[in-house]
Amino acid sequence: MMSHFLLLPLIFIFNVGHAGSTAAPSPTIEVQKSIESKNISDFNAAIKKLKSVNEVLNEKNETALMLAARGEFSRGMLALLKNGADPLLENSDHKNSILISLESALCSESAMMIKNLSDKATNEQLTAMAQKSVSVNCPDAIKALSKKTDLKKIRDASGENLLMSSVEAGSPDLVKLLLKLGFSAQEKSEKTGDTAIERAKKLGYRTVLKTLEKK
Amino acid sequence: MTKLFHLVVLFVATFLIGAGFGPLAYGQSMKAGCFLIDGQGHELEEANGTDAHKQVVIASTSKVLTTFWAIKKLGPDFRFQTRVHITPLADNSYDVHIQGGGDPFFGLSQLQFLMSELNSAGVQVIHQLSFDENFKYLTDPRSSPATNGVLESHGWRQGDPSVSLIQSEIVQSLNRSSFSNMSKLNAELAQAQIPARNNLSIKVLRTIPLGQDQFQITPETKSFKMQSNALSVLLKDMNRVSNNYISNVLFDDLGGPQAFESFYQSLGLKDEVDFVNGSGMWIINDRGQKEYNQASCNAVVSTLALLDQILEKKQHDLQDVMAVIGIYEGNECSTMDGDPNRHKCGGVPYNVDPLIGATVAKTGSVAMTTALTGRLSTNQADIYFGYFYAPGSAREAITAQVKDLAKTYSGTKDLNYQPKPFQYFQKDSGFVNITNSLRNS
Repeated sequence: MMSHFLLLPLIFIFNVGHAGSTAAPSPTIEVQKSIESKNISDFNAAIKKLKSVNEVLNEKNETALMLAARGEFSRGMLALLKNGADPLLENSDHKNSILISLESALCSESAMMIKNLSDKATNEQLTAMAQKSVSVNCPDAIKALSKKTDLKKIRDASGENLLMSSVEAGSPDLVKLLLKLGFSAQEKSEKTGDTAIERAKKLGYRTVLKTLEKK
Repeated sequence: MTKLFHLVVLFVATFLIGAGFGPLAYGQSMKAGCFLIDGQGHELEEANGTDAHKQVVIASTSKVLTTFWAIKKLGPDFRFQTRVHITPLADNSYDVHIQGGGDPFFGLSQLQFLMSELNSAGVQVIHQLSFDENFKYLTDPRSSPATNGVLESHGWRQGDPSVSLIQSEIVQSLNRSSFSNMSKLNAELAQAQIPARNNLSIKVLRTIPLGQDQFQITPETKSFKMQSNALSVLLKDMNRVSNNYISNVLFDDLGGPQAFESFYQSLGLKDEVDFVNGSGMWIINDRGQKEYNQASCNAVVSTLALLDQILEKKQHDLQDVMAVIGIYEGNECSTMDGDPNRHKCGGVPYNVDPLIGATVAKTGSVAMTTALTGRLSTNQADIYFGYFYAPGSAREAITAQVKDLAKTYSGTKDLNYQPKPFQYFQKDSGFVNITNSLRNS
């Protein structure tokens, strides 16, 4: 008798989002499980059961592409994108799949999604992607963004341009790329008045400083 | 000089408030985090934080514990020996038996080298090529398929790779059209100052497994040994790319899960460590469920500190067996410098100042854990740290925490580490005749 009571919470969990059935898990659970196991066959089977590839799967307004990005499941993400998943849809935290992918350090996947972005991406969205690409050290994404927007106009939360943000982030890879894209190591910060070189010296960032001084 | 360590438990809340760095909403997905300071004079203290002693899935940071076990048991200068026994037959052919030494790096290059040594010894036709249970072989054990491929589709089982897989891999290697071509091998040999070899002239009629207890040395048998490079060099390569195959074979060589448990019992850390393999990848248990290695943060950072200590005693450094952030070995980057899924150089949060050149570390990533453990050299002290997070924004949060450690301890100190491209062979890796010593023993 006791064991029946213990099963009740499980039955409840399996019924969420799949009213009327106790036998099969909901498509949401199947998608999540296949992401956890990184099993592409199970994942493909699970997404086929969705009403649409962009179906909202949980209370945070997240799609399968967002879940796959958070689960660092590259193959699943590629499968979804091939099937028309929209990387610009946003969850309840106003994060789209590209931002989530960047947070998961899926640099190549993020860059690929940015490259294939339609013109409907807003300046606000592109700016958020650029800022996140810097904070997670993803030069590939910045390179892809340079074809979509004017990077020099972008400022971070403290009002610094992307080169100064990259110096603060300590990323020689980003600094090297931004110098190549036309940013100047001598340009003074609109906020503090120091140059990128002076900032790197102040922070004691050896590799970034060498990169800036090479230019 | 003996190093003593003072353990400091990282209380997440303290860090959130005290350090004042921004994006620490990430703290909520942290499973455990702790650090040890090389206090020089402080006694080793027991950690008393819940998170520091709680067992969590530690993913590929498991390889730090496997590395420590290997160094403690075998020493950094240990070299794997593979013995080759050659018995002449009446028709000018030979039976060749390979007595393995558990070398997890034995692959195509090593097999070609072995065959070239056989050519030099006058062997061109092998009637029977046999190998024993201690001979491990994959065509390319350093490659990504070996790391993430077929062996892991069922999880790792003790005793893998199976005898049938080894046999099939050897036969496939021998049947390659390019097997007799020495150009790639000669480039590797040149690094070790071993003279170039002529293309092979070798014919193998059959390849079979033959247990060590079934193999008999005859009075006509000549025996040779060949040797790998030093264990420290091999471990460095294993850790740099987080090679699951190599670490699992090594772990089994050392005795497997039970021997590992005994080893950690001797360190007083048995209750904080529960390992199923050497890599941190999963295994499928008897109930058909996935099992992962677990350990406490305290066990991981203490191991790291002890590893550094033992290496120092043996005139080695931690960076001899683990990668340095931002320093490429030749053109080969580590998992800390590259895409976490593809080991491609460039584009991971860890590869930033002031961590570059000052941090020796190991990454970990499985379905439920993203981790980084390592030693940060600061201007005040060396700090051993471990951070274990649920996936998501884990790498960014971990980087922020290590950067904060650097800031708290007056910035980082460059290790001035000079990268060394991996080489398997050493000048004396080739055949050494051991026939007489075996007979006398």
